This record gives sequence, C-alpha cells and structure tokens, in this order.
Amino acid sequence: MEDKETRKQIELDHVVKVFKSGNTTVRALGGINLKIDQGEFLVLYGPSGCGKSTLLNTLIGIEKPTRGEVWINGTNLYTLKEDDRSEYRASKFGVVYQSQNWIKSLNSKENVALPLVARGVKFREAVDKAEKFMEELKISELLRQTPTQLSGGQQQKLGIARALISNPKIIFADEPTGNLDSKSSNIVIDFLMKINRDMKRTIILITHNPEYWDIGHRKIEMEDGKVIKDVKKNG
Amino acid sequence: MDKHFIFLFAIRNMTFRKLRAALTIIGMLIGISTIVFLVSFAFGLEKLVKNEISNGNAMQLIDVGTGNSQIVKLNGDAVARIKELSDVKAIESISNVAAMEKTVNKDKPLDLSFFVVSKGYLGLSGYSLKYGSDQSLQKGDGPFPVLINEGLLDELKIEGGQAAIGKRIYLDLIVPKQITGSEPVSLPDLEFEVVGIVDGNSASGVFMHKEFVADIPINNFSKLKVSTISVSNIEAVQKQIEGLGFKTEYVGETVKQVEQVFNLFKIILAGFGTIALVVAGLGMLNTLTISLLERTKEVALLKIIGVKSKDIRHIFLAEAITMGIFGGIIGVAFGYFLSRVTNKVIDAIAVNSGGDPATLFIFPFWFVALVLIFAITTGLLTGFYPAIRASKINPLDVIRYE
Ligand SMILES: Nc1ncnc2c1ncn2[C@@H]1O[C@H](COP(=O)(O)OP(=O)(O)OP(=O)(O)O)[C@@H](O)[C@H]1O
Ligand SMILES: [Mg+2]
Repeated sequence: MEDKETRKQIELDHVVKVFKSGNTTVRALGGINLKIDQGEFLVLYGPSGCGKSTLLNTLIGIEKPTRGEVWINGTNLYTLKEDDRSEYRASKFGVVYQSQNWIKSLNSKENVALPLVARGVKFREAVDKAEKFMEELKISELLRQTPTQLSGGQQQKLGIARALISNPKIIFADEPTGNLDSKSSNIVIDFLMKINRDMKRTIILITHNPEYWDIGHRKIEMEDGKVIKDVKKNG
Repeated sequence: MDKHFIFLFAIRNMTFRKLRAALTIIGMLIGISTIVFLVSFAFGLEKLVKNEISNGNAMQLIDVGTGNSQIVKLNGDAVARIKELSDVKAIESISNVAAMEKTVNKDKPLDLSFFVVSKGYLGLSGYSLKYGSDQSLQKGDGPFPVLINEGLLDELKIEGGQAAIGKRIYLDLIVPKQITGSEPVSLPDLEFEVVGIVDGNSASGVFMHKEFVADIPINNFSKLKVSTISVSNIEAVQKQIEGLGFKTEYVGETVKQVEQVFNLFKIILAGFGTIALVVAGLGMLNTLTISLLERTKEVALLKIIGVKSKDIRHIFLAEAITMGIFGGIIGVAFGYFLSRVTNKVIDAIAVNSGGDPATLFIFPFWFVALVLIFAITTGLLTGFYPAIRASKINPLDVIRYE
C-alpha cells in the first residue's frame, strides 16, 4: 500500500468497468488513471455514452469497477463493506443529479436535512441546521413549498443544498443543469462556483453544455471510456 | 440513524397516503377485534360456569360420600377417622331427610328436602344468610329453629324477606334407613320456626342444625365436606380418604375439566380471529409492497445519500410495526367496545325477561397484552419481506432509467 500522504484527494488506478448483458459486453470505462486535488473544480464532458456517469458512480462508491482501484483520501473505497461505503458517502460526498428525487412525505428542509440524519444526527437538530444552512445559502424562500412544488431550477438549488448540508469534501454533479433553461442553469453553475471559491470544496461537474467547459480549474474530455484530453488552467 | 426519525418517517408515510393506511389498519382492526371479542366472551363464559360449579370456597373442599357401597358408612366413627388424617382442617356434614308439607295444600302434599347439617356446613357450601340470624339457632322449649331456602318461600306461601322470620311450618319427616342406620323412621307433624333465610342456587330445602336432632334418629351422614389446611395438599388428602373406602369428589377436578374445555374453545375462537388477522396481514403485505414499488426511487435516493441498508430495513419495518400497533390498539379498543355494547344489550334483554345481568366478557390483562404483541408481531412479520426487498434496491437501477 502506498503512503497516505503522497496520495491526492481522489485517485483512480486503471479503473475498468465492463458491463455484460446477455451476449453483449460494453466497456464503459477503459482503464482510467486520474488524480484530483483537493479544492479543484473539474469539468468532465464528452459524447453521450462515453462513460461519464459510470465514472462518477464509480467514484461515489455505488458502481464497483471491474478492475482497478478507487482511492479517496487514502482509503481504497471498494475494500469497504457496502454499509461502510454508505457511511463514507454520507460523510464525505454530496451528489447532485440532472433531476432531483425527493422524499414526498417530507417537506423541503426535512429533505435537505436527510444526509445529516443518514450520518446519525438527531432529526430535530438536522432540520434546524438545514433551515439555517438554507438561510446561509440565501434560498430560504424555498422553505415555503414542498420540493415537488418547486420549479426545476429551484429544485436543483435545493438539491445542491442537500448535497452540501453535511459539509462534504467533494461534490459530484451529473448534469445538474440538464433540465434547466439557460438563466436557471447559470444560477446553478454560479452557485457551484461560489461554493468552490468560498468553501473550498472539490467539485466534479459533468456537463454537455460547452459554455461551462472552461469555468473550472481543469477540464477533462472523455471518449469511449477513456480520457482523451486533460487540460489544467494556470492560476 | 435516529430512531425517532425512523418512526416519525413511518407515520409521515402513513399520513401521506391516508386512505391506504386507514384501509390497512381497518383490516388489522377487524382481525384483532374479532379475536378480542370472541376470546373475551370465552373467558366470560368460563368464569360464569366456574362460579356456578364452585361457589363459596369449594376449591378447598373435598366432598366425601359412600357411593353405592352398602358396607362403608359415613358416621361419627368415619368423621373421627378422617379427622385423624394429616392436613385435615375441618369436617362438616349433611344428612338428607325426606319431608312432606301437608298444611298449605291439603289435597296435594308438598315433598321437600330437609337437611340436617353441622354448624359450618352452610358457610362452607357457599350459602349465605339473607335474613334472620344464625345466632338465633338455639333450641329453646318451642319448635325446632330452621333456616329455609329462598326458593321454598313461594311454595310454602310465605311472604319473603324479613317478614318470613318467625313463621311456623309443619312437616312430616321420613328419615330413610341410610340415615337412621337401621329401619326408616317416620316423624309426623313436627313444628318448626323459620329463623333465617338463605340464598343459594341448589335445590330448595330446609336446613336444621345437627345439635337439635336429639329427637330425630340421625346416625349417618349423606355427605361430608372436608377442608384442608392448604389447597396444595388437597389431592393427597383426597387419596387418603379414598383409602379409607369412601368416594370423594373435588370441585377442582371439575373446574380443571371445564378449563380444558374452555381452553380448547378459546383456541378455536382465537383461530377464527387469527384467520381474519392473516387476511389482514396479507392486506398489509400488499400495501407495503405497493408502497415499496412506488417508493423505489425514494429508497434509491436514501441509499445515494448514504443511508445504510440496515436503516432502510428499519424504516420499512417501522412502518409495518406502526401499522401493527395502530391496528392492535384500535382493534382491542373496538373489540372491547363491541363486547360492552353486546353485554349491555344482552343484560337489557335478560332483565326484561326477569333474569339477572351478568358479566359475559372478561379481559384478562395478559390476554390484552398478548393480543397487542400478536398484532405487532403480525406487523413485523409482514414487514420483513418488503423491508428486505427495499434494502436490496440498487440505486443505480433507478438513476439509469430516469
Ligand atoms: N448497467 C449497465 N448495463 C449495461 N450497460 C451500461 C450500464 N450502465 C451504463 N452502460 C453503458 O455504458 C456506457 C457508458 O454509459 P454512461 O451512462 O456512463 O454514459 P454517459 O457518458 O454518462 O452518457 P450521457 O452523456 O448520455 O449521460 C454506455 O454505452 C451505456 O450504455
Ligand atoms: Mg450520464
């Protein structure tokens, strides 16, 4: 095992993911090597089906790679048991998808509070925290409605709040603007940039929208399960 | 995960789909209230029957008789021998004498039972004095003092209650040969004074104290009642008495038989209720499974957020248990309500037709507790399958097919 200190926040070693369904096999990830620094804003893009989502799911611990290793903060993620990975996810990661899923029987702040509850925080405490946190993010106006009554853009914001509540070190966003008009998209992206800037969170953003490819510190282009371009901005 | 949240979540989910939760709980309610209603009825009936058999302190008493034997005799000697047995506390006796009343209706004389009893006999047998006094059972120069059974008042055309005290009655006694020990003796036209009225549910009759029988040849007893020092050795004493050649009866045995019959009865009734409960359980399983299918996305979300499989299982189990608890409590309450109403209605009918009100339903605490545990267990059992299925949901399957 390598020394913890020398590792980056995220490291992928020859990660391969092969899907087999019947006779067809799909090589969704063809040996990815990647190191990501803490505090980095990384934008990931590439044609549909190139393996972006698969990569992200592998990173958050819900898609076990066929081969290779995923290291997060010096932990070899897939040597953990499933429940330990859940715990790890609850404490270290925030995840935002293209469209948000909500627990329909819970209201907005309760939904935002869920990751804290998953980590073992008392429900009341978690909800209080969620309310304060939404004030901090200046989205208190979303409290008045249940999540499903909110507009797409509002739901994305609320989803980001939920991803951030447990103070995760890394935020994964898989096409968070995929369902939004350009105005709402900009608001959401600004929101992510602000979080990266002010809170120093690592952000990994997957997006099809070329407008956003250059907003981060680094952009990675994928094709056929491989990284074909990896550009770091200076400064 | 916060247990408080798990249960709050369960209740939220139930209230979120009110109608469905209500229907499921009503299913439980029907099963549980059926069990409560039927089995508490069995308990009530059992108590009534047991009371009927074993009034007074019958549970501590052995009845001693001779059976059909012509050889063994229940006489003073027998009493002395039984008294010598260890653990025997007291022996009371009764001798049956035939009596005839001719004054009330001259054309049709009235046959009645006349009992000569030892002092403690009536008390041990569960008779109680309603009017008059035992203390006045003292032989003076006048007529023999007797106690008479309430049921006899009518037949003797004596006004009931306190007014009956001091009334005179005239009887012909025929002491059978079993009692005299030799030839039957007939004693016409004896005068008696009613000094007390006893209630009691067995055959109506006249009771006289043994101390006053000097004039009447009573040498044998029809029956003895033997009480023991403690209930625990009653069966040993019973064996010893039988060893002396007597026939014995112990109400406890009858009560045990009654209990056995009723236990079977209860099991059958509970069985009916259980069938209803199983049907309710299937309804609940259906509800939970449908709700699981509807909430697959929600479960996937919880998993991605980092909720452990164990907690997801607990969330679904909590929902099932909560429904079980609600169904159980409401079911017990409803079963209780139903039986109260039924009891009231039956009482009203009974009173109308001259009967007495009775407690037909009994709810032992342990039974109610057991039913609640049963309801919660049903919830738990029906919750297992959906809970395990929920915990196995792969979040990726949900994300992928958005
Ligand atoms: N569970 C699966 N079984 C079989 N094939 C799969 C599975 N998941 C993904 N794939 C395949 O793996 C490849 C990569 O899919 P992935 O979802 O990672 O693409 P993507 O880059 O996110 O595409 P998009 O931009 O459309 O979201 C695709 O060819 C897809 O069909
Ligand atoms: Mg994708």
